[in-house]
Amino acid sequence: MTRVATMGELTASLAHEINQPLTANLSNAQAAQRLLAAGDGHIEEIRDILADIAADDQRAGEVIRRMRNLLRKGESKPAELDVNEVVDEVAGLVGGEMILQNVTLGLDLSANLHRVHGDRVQLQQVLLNLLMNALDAMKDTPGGSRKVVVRTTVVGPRSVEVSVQDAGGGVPSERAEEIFEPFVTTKPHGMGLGLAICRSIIQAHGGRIGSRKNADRGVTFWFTLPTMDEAKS
Amino acid sequence: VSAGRGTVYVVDDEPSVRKSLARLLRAAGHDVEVFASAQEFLDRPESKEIACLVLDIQMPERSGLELQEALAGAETTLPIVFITGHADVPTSVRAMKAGAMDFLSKPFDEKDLLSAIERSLEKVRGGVEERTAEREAKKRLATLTPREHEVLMHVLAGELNKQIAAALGASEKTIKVHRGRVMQKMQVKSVADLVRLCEKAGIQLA
Repeated sequence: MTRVATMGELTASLAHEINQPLTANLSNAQAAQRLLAAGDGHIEEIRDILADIAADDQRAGEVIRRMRNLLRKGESKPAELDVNEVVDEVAGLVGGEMILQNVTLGLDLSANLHRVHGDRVQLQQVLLNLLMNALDAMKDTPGGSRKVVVRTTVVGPRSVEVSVQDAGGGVPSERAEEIFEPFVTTKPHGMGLGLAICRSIIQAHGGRIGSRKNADRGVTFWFTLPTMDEAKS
Repeated sequence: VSAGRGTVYVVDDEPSVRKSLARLLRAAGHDVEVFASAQEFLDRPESKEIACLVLDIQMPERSGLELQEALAGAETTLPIVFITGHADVPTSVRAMKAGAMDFLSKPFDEKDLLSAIERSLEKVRGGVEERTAEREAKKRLATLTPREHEVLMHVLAGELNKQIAAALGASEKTIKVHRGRVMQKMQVKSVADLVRLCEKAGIQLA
């Protein structure tokens, strides 16, 4: 249910992501046709154009591959995962939505993470949910201040943390715990299921989820996951 | 499609779109300058006289619509062709109301883009010609003596030499000489041409 709703919100974003390479490919192809019609060589430039067309085509295919993965039905398939890779893939999906909503997305990914054992798609859904919440929370934030930062950090010897920091209106501190309960929502049209599902996914992975107030404005939602190996520190 | 010389500014945050559009527009005979953001465009060192703007709507920091607003205050208008990966009706209405030349959804065909650019450059050329004509007319007008200027105003009012002579207390022959000089300095052969030129120079005719 949440998955489908989120995909609905993402459609515009995905159209944007796929339209970019499509636009570049059409213009590149038509430029090449003009160069060929003009005669006198241009072989080097036409070669560059073809290379760019191939690269953009692969990029469009990649967007579709990620979307398929996210929508894939079926049972949980835990595997060894690089958390940063999960973050990158989700960031690639929401990039267009961020631009549409005039939000800057920052990634601050630790290079020292150990791998975790988990379900890639489920973890992507958790992160996607937190990012969409962050966007919703910043609807009333002035244009220049709309910023989301996704961070990955090593916390303790056997755990990594993924956090999503927004610059929105915040969550009243007395509700910080209960928003993870089913059917509790701060949104006018929310179902109150997103964070509840996130919590159940993270708990099933042996992790924890929570939120903390930022020093300046907004909230940071975080979750931790146990790593497969002990970190050297 | 024939393309005249003119500079096309392309502002899009997407590198592959910028690069491909620059190639296409150059292949179609235009000069092209590309910018990755609204700010980069505003910071460009010099403005070309014959130019138009191909502008992406959705960009981080400052959107295409915000750039359009920022440019609206400038003295010479730069025609804008909007391109967007996500066209919604309110946005396109807003852009067109604010004077956009066209609004194209990505991906668009070259013929739509090139014709919008051609119309934009044509509009700028028309404006430039008009301003040049105005400057020239004013320049000629400035060479008239005060007396010739006086005679001119009466001529523009449709008066005959005899009427002007009476009004200015001069002989008809003198007025004829003044009128001849006015026609010579304004470089026109008929009163009809004189009226048109004076209108261009901004003289209010009664």
